[in-house]
Amino acid sequence: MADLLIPTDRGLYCPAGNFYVDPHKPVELAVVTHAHSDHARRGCGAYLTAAIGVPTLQLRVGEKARIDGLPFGQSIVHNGVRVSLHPAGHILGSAQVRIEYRGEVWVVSGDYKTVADPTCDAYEPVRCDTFITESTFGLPIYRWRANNELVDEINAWWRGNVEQRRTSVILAYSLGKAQRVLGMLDPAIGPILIHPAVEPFYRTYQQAGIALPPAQCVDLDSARRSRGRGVLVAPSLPMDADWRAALGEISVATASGWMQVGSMRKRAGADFGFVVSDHADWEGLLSACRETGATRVLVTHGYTEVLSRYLNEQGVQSEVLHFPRIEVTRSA
Amino acid sequence: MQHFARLLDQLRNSGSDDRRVAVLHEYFQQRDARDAAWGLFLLTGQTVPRTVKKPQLLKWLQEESALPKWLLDQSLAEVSDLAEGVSLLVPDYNVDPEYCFATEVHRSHAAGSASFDQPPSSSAESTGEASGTPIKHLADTTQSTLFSLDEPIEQLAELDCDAALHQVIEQRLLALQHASPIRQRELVIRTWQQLPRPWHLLWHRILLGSTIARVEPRLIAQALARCSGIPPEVVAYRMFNGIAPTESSWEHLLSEPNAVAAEPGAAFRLESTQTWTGPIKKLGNPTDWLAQWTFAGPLVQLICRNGGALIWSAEGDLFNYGFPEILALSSTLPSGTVMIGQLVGTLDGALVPLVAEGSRLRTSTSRQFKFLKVLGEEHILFLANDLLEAEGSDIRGRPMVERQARLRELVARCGEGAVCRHNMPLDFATWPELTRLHRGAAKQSANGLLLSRIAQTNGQQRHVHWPVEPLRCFAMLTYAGQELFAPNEAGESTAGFAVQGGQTVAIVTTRIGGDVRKVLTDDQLRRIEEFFHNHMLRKFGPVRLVPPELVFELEFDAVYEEGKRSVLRLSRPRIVRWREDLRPADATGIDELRQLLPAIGVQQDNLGSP
Repeated sequence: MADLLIPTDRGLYCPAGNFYVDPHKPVELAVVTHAHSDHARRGCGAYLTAAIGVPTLQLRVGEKARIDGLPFGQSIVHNGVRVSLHPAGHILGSAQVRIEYRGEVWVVSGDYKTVADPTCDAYEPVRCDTFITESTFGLPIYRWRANNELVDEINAWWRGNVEQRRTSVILAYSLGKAQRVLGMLDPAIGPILIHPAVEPFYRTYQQAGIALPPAQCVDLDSARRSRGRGVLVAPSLPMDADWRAALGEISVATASGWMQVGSMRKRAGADFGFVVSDHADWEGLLSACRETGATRVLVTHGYTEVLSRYLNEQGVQSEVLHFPRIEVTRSA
Repeated sequence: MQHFARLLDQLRNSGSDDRRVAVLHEYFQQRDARDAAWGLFLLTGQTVPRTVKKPQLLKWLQEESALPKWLLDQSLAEVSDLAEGVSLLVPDYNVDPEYCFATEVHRSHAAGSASFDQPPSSSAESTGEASGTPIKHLADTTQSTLFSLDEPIEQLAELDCDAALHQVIEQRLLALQHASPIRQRELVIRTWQQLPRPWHLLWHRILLGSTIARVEPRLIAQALARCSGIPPEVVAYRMFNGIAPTESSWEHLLSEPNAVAAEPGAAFRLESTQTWTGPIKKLGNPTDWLAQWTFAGPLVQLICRNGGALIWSAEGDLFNYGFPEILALSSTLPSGTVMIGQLVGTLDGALVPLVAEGSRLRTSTSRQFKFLKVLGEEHILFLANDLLEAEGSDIRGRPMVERQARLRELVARCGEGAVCRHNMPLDFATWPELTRLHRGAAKQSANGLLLSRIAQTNGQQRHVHWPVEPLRCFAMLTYAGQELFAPNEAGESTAGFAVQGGQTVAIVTTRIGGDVRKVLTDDQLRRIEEFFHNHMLRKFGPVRLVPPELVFELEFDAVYEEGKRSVLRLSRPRIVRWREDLRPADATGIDELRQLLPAIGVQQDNLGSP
């Protein structure tokens, strides 16, 4: 039987249903797993995404884009192909795509994580014949700690900075990671500021009913008022002299799975690194592959060769998913 | 162990020396002697010799983690640091994540019930005096304290969050030293199983003999002084004499000194020196002042007592490593002599600036521990400014004239060409006369004048430093690091500046100091970055080469020649401003700079002959 999904230069294509999953280029119909820019591109004719993720995707692909929301677990039939979305636990509204055609089931994981995260629906394993998995952290050195330990670590660091009258800056990707970090912060310690790039997503999270502490969009004035006490969550460090003056002495921490490794921390140039990742760790990847019951696993995004080789050695048929001219971006 | 791990975290997150002293103080205050001794041992950069061979450790790791060898190798390669890699790959032995916290609660309820609270009967007290070398000491401890080879593994106490640093090290790590490979395997694996995951990295660092931390001894001395009430200089001196990770060593370190005199290393507290930038005549009557040249080099006290010598920096660091010729003065100078002066380096009679590559003085001021590795070729001189103690008595209260006379006499005893010289007071009667001398400072390789009040006065500033006007030139930027002007630990950044050298350009400095990001505006930095982006010629690793088109005004202390080919270099260059109005043709010529070189020969005179 022919493959249900094939890698093309425009992305993962379903010939039977005539749609793409997370296309790299504009196409007529795109099923989008989540709103990170390496998965959601502007300019498609129509988008299908998880209902709860529609406002976030709208911010990413523009107000005029046509987006249909599909609640988790419900299915639609398009050109005879049954499509349903299931929580992937990566960010708010991130979904796995289940595709069923003539009795065969494929699941595209998108980006996913298996550890608990209160800011999004928990990952659900979905039974399938073929599973397409990411492998961003596909090495056994990547093993995440429990959420509560991270919460303690981050708040202890913030408190330590307040004692030393330093402003804390946490560098985090503006969608998903920033909100997850915000959810971890204890507002009793001091004021919480967010970068303008973080703010719109902060609002969509709140509108979706995710409990986040009060946070103010940063300007020079609020930065000055929070100097030495506050924490700023931002995708990058403000380099401008006015900002530096307003924030005063700062301590910078990066929140990313890459912070697991000391040499990466050094390369990132942050004083501190918090190992907060929205991707599955090694064990998470293996358990996900196991729990789908898939007899074939296609590996994309990351340590593809490693994971694929290991799965084959473990008796699971696996291949690396090769896209023509793929642009692999590593987001954490 | 958790306290020590937390201390390391806090030190990492400390923005100032005060804060570092405070967290060290808190740690030492709370730990008992045996734990504190080990903590101190590791904080001073000492290591426990590696007892487990790497291939063996990796073999056990592979067995335990059940990962194929290729995957293990690839993972370790990704991490590059062995201790870190092993820590990340040790499997989870189904440790309940709440285990740590649960144990802590349990412990506080049932204190004293666990077997771990009774340390093995023969403790470290029986071994190692403070003077013993740590490594010898470790072997002693192993023999006396630890398990014999055939002792059943079951008798190992549990390790948990409460396990003290000394318990983990002495009962697990030192036990490996004389164990058979089979027993080593059992010890290592049991430790993996029992030790809470957050301390794994620390454990593997110690196990593999990596340096854990290297806190400046001065800060540790301050923290310990605060704990014990003993003067920091006494603690620092005792630390210098050697630290063994034992209770007795710790107790000796903090034992009450009988009298300051009984501490042969104790230094005097130095009076502060004010930097003078105003008109010199405001200092009053010129005849009230004694003037001496100052040079690039650390200000130190040279203490000769009881047949030994010590070199203390003004900041409270011991400089004894690396200056054997200065320490040898203790055989010439009478016991009970304390002098204050500067250490300067000379090469072929000319002063070597501190910034010169490989200068002993350069490394000595910041990184004490590198002394023995980076030995420069220059001669080190001690230029004595003043005599503080003579024949065992404090003479700081004696008249300046008398002190200078006795100093001259003492230095003369060292003989012609000795490493100890008298920094001769300058002859002057009026301020204009001194100003004239001051203007010629660069020719003397001096960086200013030290003025000391001759008469004893209360409350008035006694020492004033009158620095030379910095020299200036126009130079072209030729290369910079990947991140433009990103300062390193010493506050310098990679940047090549060149002057006009006839047919070609001559690079006169490879790094730039000062806070470049403060001197240049954000807009200027952005435009310079843009220039690098658009005009980069070549890239050598992180260094980006551009055509010499941007001209900067630089400030520097002096010019000197470096290396066999006598390349001209600037001493302590700083950017003053970006001269966007100047073109490369306007840059300073190399010959102009060469004229600023101190004349050789003049040197010998002003370095103060005996």
